[in-house]
Amino acid sequence: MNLILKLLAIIIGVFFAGYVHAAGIVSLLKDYIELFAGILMVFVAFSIFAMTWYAYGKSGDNHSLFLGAAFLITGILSLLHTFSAPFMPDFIIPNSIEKSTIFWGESRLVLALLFLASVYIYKDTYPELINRPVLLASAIVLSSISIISILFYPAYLPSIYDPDGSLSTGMILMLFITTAITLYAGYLYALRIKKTGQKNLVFLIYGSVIIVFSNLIYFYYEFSGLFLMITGFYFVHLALYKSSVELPYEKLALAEEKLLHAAEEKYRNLFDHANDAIITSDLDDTITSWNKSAEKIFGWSSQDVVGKKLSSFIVPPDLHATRDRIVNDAISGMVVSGIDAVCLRRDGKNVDVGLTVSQLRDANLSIIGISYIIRDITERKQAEATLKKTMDELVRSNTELEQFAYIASHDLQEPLRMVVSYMQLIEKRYKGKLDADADEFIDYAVDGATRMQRLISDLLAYSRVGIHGKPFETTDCEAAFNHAVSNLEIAVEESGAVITHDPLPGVMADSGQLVQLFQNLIGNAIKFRNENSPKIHIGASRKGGDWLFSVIDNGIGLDMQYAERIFGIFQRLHGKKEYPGSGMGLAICRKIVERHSGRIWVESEPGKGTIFYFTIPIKRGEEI
Amino acid sequence: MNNEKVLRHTEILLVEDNPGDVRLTLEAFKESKIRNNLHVVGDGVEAIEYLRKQGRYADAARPDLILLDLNLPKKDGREVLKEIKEDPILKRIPVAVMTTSKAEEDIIKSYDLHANCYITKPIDLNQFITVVKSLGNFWFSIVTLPLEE
Repeated sequence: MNLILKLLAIIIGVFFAGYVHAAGIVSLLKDYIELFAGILMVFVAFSIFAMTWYAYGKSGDNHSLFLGAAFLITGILSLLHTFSAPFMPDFIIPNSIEKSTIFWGESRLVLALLFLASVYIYKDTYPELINRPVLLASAIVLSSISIISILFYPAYLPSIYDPDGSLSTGMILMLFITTAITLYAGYLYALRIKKTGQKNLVFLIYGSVIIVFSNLIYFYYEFSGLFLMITGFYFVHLALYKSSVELPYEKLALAEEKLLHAAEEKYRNLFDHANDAIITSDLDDTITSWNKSAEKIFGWSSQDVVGKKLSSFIVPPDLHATRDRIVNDAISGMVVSGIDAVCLRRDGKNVDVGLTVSQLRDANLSIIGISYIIRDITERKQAEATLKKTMDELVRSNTELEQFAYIASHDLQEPLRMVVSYMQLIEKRYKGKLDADADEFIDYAVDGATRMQRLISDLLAYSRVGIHGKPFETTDCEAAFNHAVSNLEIAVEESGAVITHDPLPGVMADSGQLVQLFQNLIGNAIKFRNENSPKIHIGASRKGGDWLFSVIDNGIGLDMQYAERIFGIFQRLHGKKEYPGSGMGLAICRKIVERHSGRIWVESEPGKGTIFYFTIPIKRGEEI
Repeated sequence: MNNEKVLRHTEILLVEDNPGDVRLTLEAFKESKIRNNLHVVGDGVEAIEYLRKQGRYADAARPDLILLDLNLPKKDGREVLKEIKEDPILKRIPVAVMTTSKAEEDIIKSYDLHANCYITKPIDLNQFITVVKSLGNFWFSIVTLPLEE
């Protein structure tokens, strides 16, 4: 309803303007005003073309470009119409009403047809056909055809007036067709607006209706017709301005705003919901932002602190110098991250924190402030403290146990010795003098006591590895080996053992324990021999950061399923009658090797001999 | 070989607090057939009194050999050793440390304090007897001891 009222108002207004004008003008000026109006109309038509042509680069709107081209043609034809007016100088053929009107009619018809065609053209329709070069060329060709046909074949042009002075049938028909096409196009645009919501096109409808009226009254009210035409063109201009210039820029601005908004949202989200406190300050230590976690950790809300000095809130009084140093480090470009510090809370309590301090830079990369990321590490500190306490406990407990084992074994030795010795004394003194049972009893007693004694002695040796271990020093393995072999002299002789070795290196070790290690392993190799005399070889080679030693024998071997067990305390694979020993030797070996940060293991097959491997780290400075 | 010395009984001072050990040592010496007078004191204080012929030990004989246990009540064996070897007169008397300990630090300490030798008492009785025999043989047949003043 509004639309129709507005249209009516415009039409009537302009009509009257024209009418009044025409009535009061001296006939001499009439021609000049007519000329001026004609040129103005051409100017508006050309400006529509120019605007859509230049805006096409940004808007890419084929619809606007097409209409723009249509108005180019209209403009050219209208120009010729103006210049063909009877009062204008002749060109090519003599000017006349007919000539002028034909141009006028042509321009209206072409405009109406192209206007109708434009209904079906959208922003991206026929990109191959609807682009600047093609449309420009088409416009020029079309204009040329119309001009040439009129100028050079005037005879074929229909007449405008009947002999009686009224409009000829041809003209009326043309007017009718033009009007119908234009109105139909306007109606289609109304449908298109409804379908696509392209509200800016409503001005095209205004324009088209006004143009229709202008066409209809032109022959009777020339001025009003002209003015209405200009008005109609103006509305078309407005419509195309909105769609090809305003809209794209609007869209761009909107899109940019959306992006910015989204980015700000994202940042805000990060800032607010970060687990750590994020605080920013300027270079004068004035707080510029304070996130939710900062509020939670320090107890001050954002309003309390923004705009005030950071140091006065969270830096404990005795740590001001440290804070200054940290900030200066950050400003000078040092990485300040993961530092443990203490901050002050609102309630006066201290809180353990992890700090990361960095520079804030603006778009020109100059430093404009400091950002602090502060993490509450109270839990971590507590965990660390608990861990340390547990570790200390463990160490203490361990030491206590070792000491206990040592002392127990040490003090148990003495009474045991009494039992063993006196049993043996009785055995010696009274053997055969008491009955056979007594002899047997004494035997068992002596045996049991002796075994216990050996067990305790071994246990003592085991616990001594830890307690009486000496600090490491450079030890010649060759010397340790020789020492061990000489300790085993008797066994070596008895068994006829042949012991060979690779060149043995020097290592950082407890020399006494190294001797013990070699002695136990070589002793075992001799002890667990088969009917052949033992052949034992000690190998040494580098493997990674360690020396890898091997003790290879040709003895009885063992089943690999026991490969782990034999290193256990008091673990034996044979009965005491078969092979002597308390089952402690290898446990002691393992303890010694592990004290030296090495590993010990065995490879063997029953009846095929045994290889014991152990590693000792290479002396520092000798590493590859 | 010093034939004159064989005639006289050797005087041996045993410093040992454990009666069981004392008896064992006695039996071992019996088995070894070394003729000797074995005097026994039970702690470090008495050991020094005996050597200095103090108190009830006024008539004590000067030992030809001291068998010294390390772990003694009152005065520790190491202290006794130190005192003996620092005394101008007593330091000539050979001291054999006889103890159950195999500990490296005990051995080193004893030799540092000028013990004449360090013996780890074997658990096995027979071995113990052998040790005692060897002791006697070494110190009284092979070795020349200074004349008593």
